[in-house]
Amino acid sequence: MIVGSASVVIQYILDSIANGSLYALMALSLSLLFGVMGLMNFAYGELIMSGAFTMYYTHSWGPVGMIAMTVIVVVVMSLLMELLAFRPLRKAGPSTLLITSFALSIALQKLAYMTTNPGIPKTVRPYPWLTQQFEVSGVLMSRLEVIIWVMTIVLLVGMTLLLKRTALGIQLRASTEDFRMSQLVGVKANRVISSAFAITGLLASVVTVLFMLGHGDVRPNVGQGPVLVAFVGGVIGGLGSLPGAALGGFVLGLVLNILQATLPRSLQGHTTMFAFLGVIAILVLQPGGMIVSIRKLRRKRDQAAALSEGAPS
Amino acid sequence: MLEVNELSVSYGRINAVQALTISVAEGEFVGLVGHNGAGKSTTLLTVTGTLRPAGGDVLFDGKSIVGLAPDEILRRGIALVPEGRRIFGRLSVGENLKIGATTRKDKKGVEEDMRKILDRFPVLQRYWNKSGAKLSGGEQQMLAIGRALLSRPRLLLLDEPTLGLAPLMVDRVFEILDDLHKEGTTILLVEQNAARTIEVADRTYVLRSGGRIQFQGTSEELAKMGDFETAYIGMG
Amino acid sequence: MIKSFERYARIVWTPFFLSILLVITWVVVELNGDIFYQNEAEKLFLRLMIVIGLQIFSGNSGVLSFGQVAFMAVGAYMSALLTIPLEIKKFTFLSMPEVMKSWVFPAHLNEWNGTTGTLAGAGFAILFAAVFGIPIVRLIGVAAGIGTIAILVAMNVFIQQTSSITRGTSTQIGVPQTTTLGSTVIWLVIAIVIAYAFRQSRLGLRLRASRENERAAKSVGVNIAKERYLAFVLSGFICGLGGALYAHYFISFSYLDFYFDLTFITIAMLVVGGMGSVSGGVIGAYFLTFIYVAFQRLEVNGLFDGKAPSGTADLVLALALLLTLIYRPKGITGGKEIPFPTDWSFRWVGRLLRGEIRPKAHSLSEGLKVLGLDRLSSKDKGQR
Ligand SMILES: Nc1ncnc2c1ncn2[C@@H]1O[C@H](COP(=O)(O)OP(=O)(O)OP(=O)(O)O)[C@@H](O)[C@H]1O
Ligand SMILES: [Mg+2]
Repeated sequence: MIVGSASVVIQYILDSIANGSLYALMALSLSLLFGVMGLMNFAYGELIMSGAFTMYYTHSWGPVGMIAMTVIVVVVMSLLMELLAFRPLRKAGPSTLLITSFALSIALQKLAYMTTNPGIPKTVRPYPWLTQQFEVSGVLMSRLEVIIWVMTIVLLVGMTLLLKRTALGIQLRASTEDFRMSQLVGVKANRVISSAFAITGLLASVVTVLFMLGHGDVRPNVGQGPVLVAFVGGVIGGLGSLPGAALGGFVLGLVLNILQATLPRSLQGHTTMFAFLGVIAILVLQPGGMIVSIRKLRRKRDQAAALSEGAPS
Repeated sequence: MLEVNELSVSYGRINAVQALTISVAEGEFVGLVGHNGAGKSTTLLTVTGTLRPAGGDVLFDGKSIVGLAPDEILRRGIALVPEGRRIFGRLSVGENLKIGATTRKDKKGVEEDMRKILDRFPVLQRYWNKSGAKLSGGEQQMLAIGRALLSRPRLLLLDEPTLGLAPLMVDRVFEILDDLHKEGTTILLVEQNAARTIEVADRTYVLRSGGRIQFQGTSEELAKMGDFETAYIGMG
Repeated sequence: MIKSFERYARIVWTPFFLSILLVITWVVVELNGDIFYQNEAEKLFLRLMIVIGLQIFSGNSGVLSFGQVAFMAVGAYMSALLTIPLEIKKFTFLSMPEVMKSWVFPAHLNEWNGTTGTLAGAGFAILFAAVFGIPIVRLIGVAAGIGTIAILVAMNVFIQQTSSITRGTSTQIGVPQTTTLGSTVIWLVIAIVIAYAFRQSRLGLRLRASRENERAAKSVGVNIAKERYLAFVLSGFICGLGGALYAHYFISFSYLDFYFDLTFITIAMLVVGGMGSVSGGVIGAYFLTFIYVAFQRLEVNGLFDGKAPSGTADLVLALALLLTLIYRPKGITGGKEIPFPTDWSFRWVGRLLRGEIRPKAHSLSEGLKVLGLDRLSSKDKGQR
């Protein structure tokens, strides 16, 4: 068992990047809803859960049918969530929305318990050609990992284009920054919020497919763990900022994965605990997330540079 | 054009505006001045649909607009340049302007208006790609006015557009408002700077705390009252 | 003479009324003798303990905490460690670090039917609350929500992963069963008195003022952080107490008992009843327990031909919480305490007869207007 240590490190990093990518996508969708309507959506985990069950039940349709159906179900679920639970509470404060999403999350989990016969363990059967590992110059990779990287990049680029280049994107960004003002310039509240939920659903469906193809086990609470980690990542990066949250999710997923692999066994289990304790510290010390402090640093640097260039005319 | 009748607005238990009645006629330039906390901003936010009144009515072109969503009120022709400008700091200057035209379908008209606005405010052209947060206060004010104008409003509401600006910039803002008025825009201007407001406005209301009217009159009438500023508003 | 009697009676009325309710419940369940109902009653009482703890902090400050169950866990685990007989501890906690062994192993706090152990567990909960309170009281709204969730998750991970102290994912062995229904009721009465006294105290009043309007409270010089901190620590104590009692009633407990399920149910109870008052917590706990047990019976026994699928009871709870949030965000009581009997209003009977009360989404609360709670809350609305 003597492997070149460089390739071991590369191996960890590659695995961790795949893990981080999924969390980046999740944190991005969480921050989208948070920005637009102050909603910290606990029930995001249940979008993943509903997608996972869809995959389980439509597995026999073949990959294309299964994925198409999963995307449809998750997006529709997301839109229904908004319509039935959050729209009546549009005027409520963020804390009420938080409890609501908590209640919704539990309700959907219980609904899944009731309707899916939890006595029988369920797994989405993996596709061997996807998960089988092959060696590229001493590093093991699977097609799934490669697909995760590619999909994440495609989605992040797609999201960037959407947010920067389209009218809807500009409206979403404006609403994220100042929802009231965006309405005063004519943005329709229902339209941006529904769009945000639709985008959330779309991202969630992709995350679900990629996640379930690797992990397999379908349980009513399958979404809870990932969503908690994505939460934390979002907070670290700054939920108020879309790129910040995505970066936070990515870094956290990456770091957690690396720590899992490198820490001594006795401490491995505690990594998530430290992540959550760290979140409390960040909330108090740097509520805008790390991206805000980076911005501040950059502004200071700019100012210093401007000063040293000499007095303004 | 705009009639505010017996309007009352409250925040929980605080009554910010009580039975306020004001009106603005087509083509008029009306000023609204008063103490801090008199309820001026509250009034404007209620007219534009952000706040719901506890009582009274707001008519625009003779029809009640109470209860309409802000975007619908904007569509009918009332735009607000809010207190503190509320520029979208993470959007570029260009995006800030474009989002002002959200309610419009006529692409040609928007392009035309955009050109006019960029001619009027060349700074905005120069900083087209700069993010809103990086503009100076005065530039942000130009941007806020430009953004509101892009909806091609028939009635423009402004909330303390000169707040925190350098004297030269204050002059510039009043100049712009005067120009807009001469070009036919109806304006309701909320200001702390009573003297300047009375100068440019056709008519000015003086508000007392709790949104009650203390005085109203044309600029000449108010000017004749001489020392009224120091006496009643307590501002120089 | 009668006047002054009424004044004192008014002061003690709410805790008195709520305590009577608890004692009646206890007596009825004890006489009934059915072990199923005894366990349900104990669960109700212990959840109510957490609800009251939660009410002290969240109800008064308006800052919702998802983390109080973590302090319950501290109470449960610490009081268990300090009461399990040495012969058992020697085998179940073999790998405990020496620093802890030295004082945990000799401890056997079983005096006065386990009261000392219970109090010791609650004491450790105070310590934890005192530490976590420092950051949490600086947060409001969603940040506070996330911060307290973080406490809950961190605690859960800690218990799962630190098997040398907590037995990890295994259940406890050898915890003496010292809690009874009766002792739980006594502790609950104490908790209710504490919570009510805190709510009515100047401290509680200031805190509630800050909840109504942070701006206004700040402008009259209320230093909210201090009040919040005290409420948080007090809340931690009550929750720790609940945990210790839990440990000594259900004796074989594990990390699963103190996580999202319990957090959810206690928050649901408090919100449905009305966060703003101790009565709200009690009424919410009873109301949801009643619904829960009714639907659970439906799952087991069925109605007519069909049985409700298992999980229905939980789903109904979640729906009750959702509907409350949408249609009556201040809960059944509207955040008011049970009014003094002479204040009870029966005007709703007349209004009902005249058809002025239409059954709609609010009918649930209309039903409770027998308590006269509508008068107080509608007065509020009038001022708005
Ligand atoms: N969000 C709010 N919540 C509670 N009270 C508010 C809120 N906004 C304003 N108020 C109160 O309402 C009253 C009127 O405020 P408003 O902002 O309309 O005054 P204003 O005339 O615009 O004052 P200024 O000249 O300082 O801008 C004030 O007493 C203020 O404290
Ligand atoms: Mg103002």
